Amino acid sequence: MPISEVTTDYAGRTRDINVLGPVDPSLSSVFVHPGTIGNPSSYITGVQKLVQRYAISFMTVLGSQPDFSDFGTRFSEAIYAGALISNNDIQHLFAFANDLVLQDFREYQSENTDLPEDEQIDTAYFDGSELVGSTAIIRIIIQALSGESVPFVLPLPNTARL
Amino acid sequence: MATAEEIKLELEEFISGLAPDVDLAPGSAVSELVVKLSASVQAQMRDEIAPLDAVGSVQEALDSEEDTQTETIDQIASNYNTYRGVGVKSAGKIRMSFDSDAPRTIPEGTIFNQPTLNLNFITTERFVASTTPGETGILLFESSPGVWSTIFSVEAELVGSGYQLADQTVLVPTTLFSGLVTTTAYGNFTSGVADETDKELIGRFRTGLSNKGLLSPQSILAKLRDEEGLVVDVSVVGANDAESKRANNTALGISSFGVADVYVRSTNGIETKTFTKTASFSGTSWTMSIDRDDAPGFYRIASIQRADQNTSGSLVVSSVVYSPSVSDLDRYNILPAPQDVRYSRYQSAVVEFSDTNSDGEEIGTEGATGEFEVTVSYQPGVDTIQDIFMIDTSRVACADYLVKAAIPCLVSVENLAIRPVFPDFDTTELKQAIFNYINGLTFGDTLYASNIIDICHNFDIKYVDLPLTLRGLISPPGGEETIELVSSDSLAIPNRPDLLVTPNTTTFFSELFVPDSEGVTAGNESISISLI
Repeated sequence: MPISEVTTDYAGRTRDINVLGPVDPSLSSVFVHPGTIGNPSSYITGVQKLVQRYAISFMTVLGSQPDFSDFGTRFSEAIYAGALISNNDIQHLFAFANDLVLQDFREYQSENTDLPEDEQIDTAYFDGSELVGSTAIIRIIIQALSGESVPFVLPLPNTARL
Repeated sequence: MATAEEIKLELEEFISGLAPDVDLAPGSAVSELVVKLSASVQAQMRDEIAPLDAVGSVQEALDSEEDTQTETIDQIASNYNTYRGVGVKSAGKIRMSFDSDAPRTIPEGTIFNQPTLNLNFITTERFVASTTPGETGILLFESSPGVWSTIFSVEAELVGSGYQLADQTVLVPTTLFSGLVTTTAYGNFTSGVADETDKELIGRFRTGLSNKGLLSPQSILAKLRDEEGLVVDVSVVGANDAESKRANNTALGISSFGVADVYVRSTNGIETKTFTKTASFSGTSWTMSIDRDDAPGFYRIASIQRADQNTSGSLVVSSVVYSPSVSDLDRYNILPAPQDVRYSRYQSAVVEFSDTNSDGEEIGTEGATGEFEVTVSYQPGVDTIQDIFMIDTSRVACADYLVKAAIPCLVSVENLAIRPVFPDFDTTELKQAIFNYINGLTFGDTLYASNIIDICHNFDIKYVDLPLTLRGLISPPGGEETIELVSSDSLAIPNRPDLLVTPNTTTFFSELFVPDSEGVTAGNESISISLI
């Protein structure tokens, strides 16, 4: 998840734990990091935190948390179903899932007006999907209220056959 | 009881106080991995602990504002050989009408919804209806020109007394049936019973501690509950009571001892029973006899229909003459007056009715006979309870106890106007709560409008616009004209011992729908609520 030209003054920010893996800013091509648990982690904040929150919300299966049944989207569920999926199918699924995440984030932002602008989402859109080696990925671009556009990729399960 | 969402907010507030730099926004790792999981676990633990917290003792159970059903009270009750009553589902029959005689299949598990009250009823088996049903199917018959109907059984989705539907109540299937014309209740449904609450169970095992005999009202109630299950209430009138006319029936009009009347409320609601009788035509009308065992102590005839036609509505009843029937009984009570027979197991009746064609001419020839289906409203168990007072092993040999069904005062609540907090307020649960309140009243209770207003304020309601109207209708056992009670404040059973109507003999009932003069009930709710 390389991020360039992003503010680095994070004094006084709230922090989250980085669970999507370390970022190597020197990479210029897509590197799909296999998310791991148990390795020494790091804190994240700013737009990187926003991207991670988006990724978690986007990939959580709607209804998989019985006590918080309106959290998540149906995107992963549809991919896990294992049907042969085209780029157009993914774009269609993305549109519905993205709308749910944006609604959730915007509601939170309206209730917490003191958030830094680079931690607030303006919009997110689909930027294509492709095979990287043997892994299918989906490209997403997140635009923060501060104006930064951050492209990032999410790996898809092996059941997704593009 | 706190939900996981509420506990999550508490945890976020707590964590924010301890570590202000931790991000707890939706989708953050801390929120997903720590806060939500912790909230879910805590919510489950609180659910498990709450009943124990609410009920640590009998007194706490009685003081609890919520209806509880806890294992602790079960265990205490079991020490007195008393066990919690399991709820009973209301059940009845549904009539579906179609626009053709094509065979129809109603699958097991088909749901029928009563839209006004939002109550669901479900088929417990598969029904196949056709004009030639054979041994396994059910009949599809032409109920009116071009309309074919079939009748089958359903039961309520859940236990509880709120599911008792009245005859003709409209229902809607939740699955599609092609050519469907109407779906209505066929006859009143039986009254269901909710699972016994801790308070009710405690009341029972306290009663259980007393003698279970037939001397005092409390011991009679204990014995009947032991032998007949959940009898709701019992009232005993005896020597020196003004309404005990049997005891006063002596040469000098002085009350004698050893004679008592036992008024029983065996179920919360009034039930109906349908049976087939043979009538004969004579002169200008049909006549039939209803025997004492057909529906012991029944209240009124709800409808008479030709057994072979399955039409809706009722033939016109011109007279019902009640008389005592004691033939073939080894032992029976003293029955000095007709009003003593009414609502008792000795009640038999001769019914005269007419069956006319569209021109108003009587259908029938002198001496002809026919089969008719009779539906009556009643309180079940009057005969078996009477038997308890008569058999050698339990009776009080020096006394004469006559068992009667409680004299009913049918209640309707009118002009109840409420301003809800939210405009989309659903009145279903409120209606059921009022219905349960009325049907939960026992002998001697007064029905207060203020209690109904209190019930309203248990819901999201800003205010209740007064006055509302309470209306009660009593049918005295002597056959006199009905007594109508109307008030905006409270309904109390009048003290009319001359008619046997007193708070000791009469109690309030509410049916979900009030029959009009035609016996049709659809849309005429006994509890009408309007939103303002």
